[in-house]
Amino acid sequence: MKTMIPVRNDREKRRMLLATFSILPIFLYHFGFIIMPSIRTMYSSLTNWNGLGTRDFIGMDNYLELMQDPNFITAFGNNLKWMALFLTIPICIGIILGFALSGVTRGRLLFRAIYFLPYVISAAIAGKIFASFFNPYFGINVVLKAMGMDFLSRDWLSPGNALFSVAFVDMWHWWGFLLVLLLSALQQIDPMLYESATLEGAGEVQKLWHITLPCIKQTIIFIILITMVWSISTFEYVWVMTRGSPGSELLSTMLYKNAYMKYRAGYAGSIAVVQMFVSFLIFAGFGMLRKRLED
Amino acid sequence: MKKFILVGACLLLMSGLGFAAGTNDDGKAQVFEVSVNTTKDEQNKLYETVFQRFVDEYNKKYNTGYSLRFVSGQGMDIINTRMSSKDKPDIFTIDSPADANQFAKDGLLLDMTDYAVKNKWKESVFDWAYSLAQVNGRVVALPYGYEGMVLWYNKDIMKELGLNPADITNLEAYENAMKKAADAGYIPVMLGSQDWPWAQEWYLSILYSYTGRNLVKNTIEGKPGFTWNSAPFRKTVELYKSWHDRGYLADKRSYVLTSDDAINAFVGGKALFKLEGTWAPYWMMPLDAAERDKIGVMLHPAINSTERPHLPLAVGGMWCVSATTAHKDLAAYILTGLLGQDIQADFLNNGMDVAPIKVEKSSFNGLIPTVQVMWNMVNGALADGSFGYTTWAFYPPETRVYLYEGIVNVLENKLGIDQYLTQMDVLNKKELAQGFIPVIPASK
Amino acid sequence: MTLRRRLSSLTLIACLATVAALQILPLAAAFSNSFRTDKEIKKLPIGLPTRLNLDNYVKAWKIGGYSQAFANSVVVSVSTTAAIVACSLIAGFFLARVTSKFTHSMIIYFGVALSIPVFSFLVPVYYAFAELKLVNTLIGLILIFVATNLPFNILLARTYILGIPKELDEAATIDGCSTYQVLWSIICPISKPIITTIALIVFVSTWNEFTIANTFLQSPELKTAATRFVLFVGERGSDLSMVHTAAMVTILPIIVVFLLLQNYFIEGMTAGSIK
Repeated sequence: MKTMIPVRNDREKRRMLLATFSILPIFLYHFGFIIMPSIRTMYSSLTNWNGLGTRDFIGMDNYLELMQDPNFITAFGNNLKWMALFLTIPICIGIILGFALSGVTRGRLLFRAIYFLPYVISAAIAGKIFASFFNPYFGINVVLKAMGMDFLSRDWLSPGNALFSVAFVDMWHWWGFLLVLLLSALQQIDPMLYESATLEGAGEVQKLWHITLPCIKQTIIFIILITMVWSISTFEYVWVMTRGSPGSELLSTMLYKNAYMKYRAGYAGSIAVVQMFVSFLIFAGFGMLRKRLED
Repeated sequence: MKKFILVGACLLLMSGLGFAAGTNDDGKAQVFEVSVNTTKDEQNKLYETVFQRFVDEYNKKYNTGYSLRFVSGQGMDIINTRMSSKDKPDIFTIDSPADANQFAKDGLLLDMTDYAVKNKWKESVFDWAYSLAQVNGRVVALPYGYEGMVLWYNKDIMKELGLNPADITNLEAYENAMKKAADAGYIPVMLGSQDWPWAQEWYLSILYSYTGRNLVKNTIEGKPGFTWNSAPFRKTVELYKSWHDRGYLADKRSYVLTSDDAINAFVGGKALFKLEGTWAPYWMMPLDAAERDKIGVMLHPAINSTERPHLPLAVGGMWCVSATTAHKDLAAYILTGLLGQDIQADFLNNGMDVAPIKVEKSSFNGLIPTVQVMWNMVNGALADGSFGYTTWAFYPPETRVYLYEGIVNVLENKLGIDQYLTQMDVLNKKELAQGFIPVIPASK
Repeated sequence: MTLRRRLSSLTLIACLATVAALQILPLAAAFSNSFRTDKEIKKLPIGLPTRLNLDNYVKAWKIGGYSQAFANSVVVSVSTTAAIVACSLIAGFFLARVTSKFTHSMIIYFGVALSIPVFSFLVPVYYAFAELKLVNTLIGLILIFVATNLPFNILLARTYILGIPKELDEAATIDGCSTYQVLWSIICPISKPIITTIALIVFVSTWNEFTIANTFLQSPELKTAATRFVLFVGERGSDLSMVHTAAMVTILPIIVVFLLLQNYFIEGMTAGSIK
């Protein structure tokens, strides 16, 4: 429930002033380093900049072309698929395992360390390691065949499967990170809540649903938000493993190719602006949803 | 308490950095910066030694105080960024004449025509190389390395199938060989482009060039009456697709396998042919002798009666000098030095690109036999003038990217051949209209 | 413990262990591969080494120039981490505790800032740095890394601090603490879990960051560990044993940092439960 505070006393006013002065330098720092250069890119998206010297104003031509570009539509669709994958699988695994792990006392840190380990590997390295496992002749398929599970083997990096295979690798890397975030939030839950629930005869699943989830609501919302927003600009894993080949083209790989290989940096800029715009819509949508839920 | 120590230590670190990390040593000796795109340590060391030698010689000769700043691993993306910023290197590398085109159009390359004449570059380098060095008649870049598309084969499997490479020079013999290999359980042609989509364009370079060199030249140059969506090119793409459909091309996996997979499969004796260029010695030399000796090389057989087997050519890259450099004479001196015979042997032995000159025979002596055979073949072809056109050296950039991306959709039946070729034509014409100047030396 | 509880606790451990095994399998394979030769790996990607020697590691260390690269990476990562931890706590605290138009818009601002792709600011920042002569300096890289890591970690700190009961603040304020004193003596000790989390996240992200580091650092002696990895991945075809070895070499320091931070984390956990 939002309460309107009509009267602020002196201390609160002082605190607000302190907040403003403390945050302002950080804001200005970030603004100068990130936003202002991005504005420059936004401007270049209105030109036919080739990445070097040619830069003539062409208005919205890039955007008009983008809307009709089949590559763009494919890439955007792939980003949405990616988002769908990451909004479901890693988050569920993270919550379930986080809950399970918080109930374990011995070895908890060891488990946490092992689950987090893949996050520590850089995309280039993980990509190369998994690429060798996806090799049709000498990779996982050989192992599956030896175990008699040949029906599971497939062309992991074929255009139809490439996106999911790369997403799998990124998920392997990512959900440990979510787990750590969730564990931090889970620590904050008052253990007494669980105890009183157990006394009333609640089962594990009920505890999860009625106590855990509501308490970590803020963190989950945060995770959903960053997942959605980062799905739009994800780049490294796809680039390292498939270079954005057909079937796994993303907005970011399309951007890279246009900027650095096709000499169409202005066009690439328009893709970057679209990415920012979509993320902004997601954020705005979230804000509106929250307002509506709170009323 | 601990926090203070930590924060204090960091502040100390950072202030130390402020002094240590400013490697822009202006005020000291004049700095001359060379940027290369190689990433391997031995290659970088060789380059640095060579450049340092030239700088020292120049300093001695002209009593100057230049110091060399050598940076490596800078690909086209970083070069693009640098050359549009205020932080331009003096000498840098670009990948192809198409790039030279773009850079020259924006006036970023030094016009070196006078130096070229004074230092007799025209006499030292191959004719085709000298024509590639020019945009609009002015010398703006110096090609280095010449590579071509060839066909590598497994000698043992050849013998086993009763085939003789010298006889495989036309389409019929080639398809026969592929069929025999497939029937015997081998993969006829191995290539992998998953992580290096350029591998598709390796084959298409050969096939389009073999469709007709003059045809390709006229089409790219946009001569009236020539279009990509014409019968000869359609026939070629249909041929390529038919090979794919029959499983001849890496068992329909040419865009699923990574380049490593393809190399491994070939070396592991799974395939008869491997499609790769004359840079393959790069991964061949570290193999052990038994595996290496199994590998042979040949020119790709002809696919029609118009063109005989030839070597689709590319340059490894081009040396360029920034138009805003303050040290033109030193730059010209260095570039001229790179054409010298004395350093080519070292480059060859390190698997690096040589200058486009007639390298002395003795420089090739340190190489393994297969590689020597390859160079004989290449040099012979070039001396004849019978070279063809690779996509990455001669085609306009956007057309080129579409060429190797679109073909996968064609192979997957998601794109019709008509649409594919028409779109290529559209892009080609668009780039010509935007000022792309084809530099395609005529071949014999 | 009843039998039923013991069984369910065992199954729980079993499940957790299975997941852990799957999670670590690729790394274990890479670790094993770092002791094998390239040829062995190309014959069979997952297998046990025949000989145990450190040849690959020595080779990788020398070729990679890792001693210098590590030093650089440490400087960059530690500095960035320290700066981000400080800024996140301060900003996160105010954004969590103070409701005003300003803080509200800051929350939205940093949220939106999360979505800005690297490529939209990479090149313009390079231009600016070229003029300021900050290109090819570690300081320049640190400045950028701090900027890129601010939004996420500020919001993360805020989310965590929202979970700290306001009563603690108020109790301290009544006792006469100023706002910053509340931050320092009350919030920080309880926030040890999130501090270690933020430190770990920032350290890892700066250690592994490639695009920006590769663009802004040019001289070999300044390059960070992540950028050295390309030395082992040739343009066409790579020595897989080197790739796996380099992977191991690059991971090692982070594991060390992780283990160090774990102890700090334990302190925080026990402190948090004491109210």
